[in-house]
Amino acid sequence: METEAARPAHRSMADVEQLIKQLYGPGSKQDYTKLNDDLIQLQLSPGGWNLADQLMNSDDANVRFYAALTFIVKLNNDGPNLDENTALSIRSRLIYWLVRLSQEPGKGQFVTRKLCAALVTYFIRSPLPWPRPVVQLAIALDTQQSDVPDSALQSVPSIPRLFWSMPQQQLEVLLCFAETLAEEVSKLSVTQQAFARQHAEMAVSLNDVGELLQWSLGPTVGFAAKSNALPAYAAWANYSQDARFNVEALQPLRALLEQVSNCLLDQSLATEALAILRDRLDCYADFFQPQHMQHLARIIAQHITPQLQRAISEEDTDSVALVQFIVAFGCANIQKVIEDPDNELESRSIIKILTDILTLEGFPGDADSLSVHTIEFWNTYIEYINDTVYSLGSNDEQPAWIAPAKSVLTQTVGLLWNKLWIPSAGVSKGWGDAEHDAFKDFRLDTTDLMLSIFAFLGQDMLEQLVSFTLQSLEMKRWRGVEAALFSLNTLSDNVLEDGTTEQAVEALFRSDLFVQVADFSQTISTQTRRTAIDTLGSYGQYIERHPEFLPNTVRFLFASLEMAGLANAAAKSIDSLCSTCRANLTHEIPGFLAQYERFLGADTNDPYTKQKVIGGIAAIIQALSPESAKAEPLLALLSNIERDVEMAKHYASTGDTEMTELIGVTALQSLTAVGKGLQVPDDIPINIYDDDERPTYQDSFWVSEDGHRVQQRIIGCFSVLSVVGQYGEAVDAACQVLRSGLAETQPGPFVLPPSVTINFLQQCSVTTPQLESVLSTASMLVTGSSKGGHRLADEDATALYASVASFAITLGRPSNDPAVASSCIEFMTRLMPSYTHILLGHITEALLDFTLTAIGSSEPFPKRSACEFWNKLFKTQNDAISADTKDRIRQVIDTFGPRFVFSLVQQIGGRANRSDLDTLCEPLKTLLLHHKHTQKWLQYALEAEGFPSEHVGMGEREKFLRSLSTGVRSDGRLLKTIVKAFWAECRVIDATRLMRPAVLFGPSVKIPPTARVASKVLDQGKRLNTEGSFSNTPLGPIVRKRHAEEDDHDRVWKRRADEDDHDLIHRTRLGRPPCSLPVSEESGDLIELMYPSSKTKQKDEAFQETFSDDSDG
Amino acid sequence: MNISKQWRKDHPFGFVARPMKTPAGTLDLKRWDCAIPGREKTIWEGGLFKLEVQFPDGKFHPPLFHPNVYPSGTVCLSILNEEEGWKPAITIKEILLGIQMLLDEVNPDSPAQADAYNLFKKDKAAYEKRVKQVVKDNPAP
Repeated sequence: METEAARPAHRSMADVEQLIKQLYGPGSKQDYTKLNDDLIQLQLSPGGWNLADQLMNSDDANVRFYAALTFIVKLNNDGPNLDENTALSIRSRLIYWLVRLSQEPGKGQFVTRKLCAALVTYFIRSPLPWPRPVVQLAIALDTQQSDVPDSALQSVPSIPRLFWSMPQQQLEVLLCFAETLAEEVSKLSVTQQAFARQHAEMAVSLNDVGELLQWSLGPTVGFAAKSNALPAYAAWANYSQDARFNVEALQPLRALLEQVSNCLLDQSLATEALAILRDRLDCYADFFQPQHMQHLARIIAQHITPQLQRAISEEDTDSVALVQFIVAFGCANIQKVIEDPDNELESRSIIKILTDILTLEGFPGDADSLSVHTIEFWNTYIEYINDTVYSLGSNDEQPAWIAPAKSVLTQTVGLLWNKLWIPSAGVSKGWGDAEHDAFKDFRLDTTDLMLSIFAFLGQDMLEQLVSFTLQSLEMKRWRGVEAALFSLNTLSDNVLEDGTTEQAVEALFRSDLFVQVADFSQTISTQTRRTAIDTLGSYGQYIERHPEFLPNTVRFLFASLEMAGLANAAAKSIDSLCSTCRANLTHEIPGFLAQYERFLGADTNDPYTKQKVIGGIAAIIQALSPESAKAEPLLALLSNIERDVEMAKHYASTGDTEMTELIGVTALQSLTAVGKGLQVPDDIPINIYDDDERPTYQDSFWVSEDGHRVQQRIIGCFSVLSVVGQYGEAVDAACQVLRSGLAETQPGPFVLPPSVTINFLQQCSVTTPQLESVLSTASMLVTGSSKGGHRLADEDATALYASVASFAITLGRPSNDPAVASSCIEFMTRLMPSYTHILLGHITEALLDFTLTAIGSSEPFPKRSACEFWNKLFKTQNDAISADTKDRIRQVIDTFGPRFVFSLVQQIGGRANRSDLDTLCEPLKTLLLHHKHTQKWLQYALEAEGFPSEHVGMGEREKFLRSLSTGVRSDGRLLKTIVKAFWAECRVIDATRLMRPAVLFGPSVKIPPTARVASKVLDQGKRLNTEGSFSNTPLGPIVRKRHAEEDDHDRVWKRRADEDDHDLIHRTRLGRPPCSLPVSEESGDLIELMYPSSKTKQKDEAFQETFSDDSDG
Repeated sequence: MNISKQWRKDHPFGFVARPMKTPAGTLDLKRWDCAIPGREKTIWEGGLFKLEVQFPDGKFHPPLFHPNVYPSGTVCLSILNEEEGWKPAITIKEILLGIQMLLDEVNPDSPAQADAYNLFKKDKAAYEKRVKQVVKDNPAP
């Protein structure tokens, strides 16, 4: 650093000047970088102060600019460490140069600004106080002395007098300094103690600045000073707000508001003054006092409004700024505008000009650039009213201004409606994206505003909009109809929620609106018809209560189905309206079926529209009574689907795979839509007292011969899977069909026999696409039959379980297909508690290992499913189940509990993601509550070798264990908090190691490949065969054997950690082992493998090969 | 400047955010009725998805098919800024833009619903097809 610092000595001033000139001259990027680096070294050197001072002498403005910059760099670097003399000397030199520059006009204004910035940097960075910098600089400029002692401040008789004789140019320097001072200090935190001195000195200076600005904005001063005074005023006003000065402290600036406002009358200053005042009105309305508002209102009425009218007629772009100013004023003075409606200047004239703007011709976003800016005013207007009205007490008198405000807003709603009209095709043809987006945005903003106005005007406004619709309808002004419907749609939620105002829309539905829009011989824009369709969606609940309006509306929707641009919206509305109003549409079924047939021949028929419409008709069929009446129309719908099934098969026979998939999948998805439509709605009333009167299962039509025939037709549609079964979408759709019946509690057409689901599952393999969907369907079958009256036969549950188990075993690792793994585990969970005896009767160690592996997996869903499985198992122990099953659960927990806890602790110790922690806490809580060995298992797991976080020592782990032993057992929230805190401690400390699991346990416990292979071989020995029969060793006998040997202390605890992350077999020898261990022949092998002997080493190679083959297979 | 005014003055195109009402009829600035448009040039384009933002969570109505949205429709807003941690000072505009971004830029480390997550991981083409269906069901006006 010393050699670097000495550099300036080797350069002459001329050299340095030359370098700076080169820097600002033309040159390559490399040259620039090199020059810049050299100069920075010079700036930072101890000689930098002297360098800066000498460079200020240069005739070249760029060099002087660089000199000022050097002062700034030096002050930023060394400022706080300056001694008193040096600091004062630097301040003196900066003032000297400012005084000198102020006397030399034309020497570069940008240098003056930079020098002002340097002096402000001194103010901020110097260790010395500088209480009144503006006055001190003013005295210096006045006396042309750079050394102004602080004592001189006391003897200044009157500050304004300082400015009286000050030449214009010096005044400009002073204003420039004042502006920079406020701008820079406003960047310093007002709450940080380090800057308390600067902010205190600013507060003192506020008066001085007030005096300076008052003079500068006064009548005797010229334009240049005034144009400098305005930004200085803005900077100090902003600073004062940021610094949270109290209202009294702001007086020096407030006192100037009239002078600043008068600048609006000076054409050359008006733009700047308009922007400053608008900003103040927008951001700090309280800054203005009533007299200021009155003064501004006068200026608006007498000058700005005429100016705006001129600008509008001349299409001048300045009109936007003028409107924004009036809006800002109106918003800031909103109380007066509303509560004093007869006040000509402050209320009437403001309302008038802002409503007049809404009458201007042109579309918002296009020719009309002004309306959009008035929306903010109307929002402020209605917000003030709503806030006031809603806070009135029940005994409070209604304010007198309510009636005039209603009148204003009613007029405004009318004007806004006019502005919402969509453009004709001729106009919109010339629009680009910008115009379209701006117009859309205006419509959205306006409807938001209308929502707020509706809260105040209520039914009157609704009637007004309905009246606009009907008047326009009568005159066939379709764009007017559209705009009114668009507004009504926005209000629908509030109208329907309120309930008291909805009769106002009756006239709309009673009119022939929907008959006319359904008449496609009339030229009506697509947008109008689409908005009319939206109206039916928005007011669906109303129509449901008034079925007399249904036929016209639904006919309109069916007619719209065949129109491009309307089909999707119409189909969606048909679905929702038919579903909502099903009971009132049953007599329309034959007509709708015919219309559906016709629609299938139209161009707009696509999978989406088909499904929506068929689903809607199915919903109406659901409402038919008795059940037998549903058969015929349902068969009519099914025949359409069967046609698609046959067509898909035909395409398959011709080799057209694309069409096979499209038609085949559509057939199944249509069947799903029918199934969903036929579900009994959730909101149907259930009489809980007449259970005895409900038809019994045997009496239901759907278990009769005729009912079965319908079901067979449904099942027959599944035959399409023979040509599309390879597509996930088709498999998923087939599952959705089954689920639509599984969700029902009573017999129905889609409530199919369990054998359908069982056969479907049995035909699958792990490679079946969307197998997880099939597994979820199987889970649903188990859950549904657990709840309902029709219990699944044990052999059916066993058959399902066999398939699921075979998938899990074939899968091997959960990571091979996390979705399938998770669904398999979820199925096992669903078997509890109703089929726990089946679950445990055939469970194998391999399956339980599978779940433990899932907990250690990095895949979130298998992990969650496995936690739920174990949690349910722990809980089921306390359910009302047979003693034998209870005993089996106890055996499983005693044997696998320690390994489960070990896996859990590994996760909590930092391996889990934060989002997994809640799931992990559940089984932990259950264990702590119900199992006496949990503490012991936790202790072993926490003390065991291989804890994920090395940096969380034994002390912390013991503390964690102790915290779990106290009152947290029954307090789930406290437990989660403790676990999360421990996890965070582990995770933060050892986050990087978590990324590299192979290193996790250190080199001393490298995983012998043989261990991995052995474990795999063991699993194979015990797994279920893939055909689903339980031919190999079930867990029972092994468990019992282990249990008998529980007291054997010389055991090894085996854990197969997650293969996904870190295959290993972890062993530990602890003083008190956690549980009994596998000492079967297999585990004997295992122990040997963990202490590789020559024998096992020889085995390694053979196993390696086997393992590779196996994994490939 | 109040929070709803701030939104009105500066909101991205196509988004909706309205403070909900308290039972007394005044505005509740902690609960917002919102709608997020799908971003242009993504599979979500053309859709408008309604959600209620109630700090610190958002809830899609109806529940949205998306890997980071829970089956109930809830989306944890902390997911938007997991690296730096959730900042309650975040504005409604930032929240909505963050969720819009999340629609197309799935966070696979924080899955919330299995259906969408599994399809997203296993079969992108099927996932995209499903999203397009969701867009059709929730079209932008």
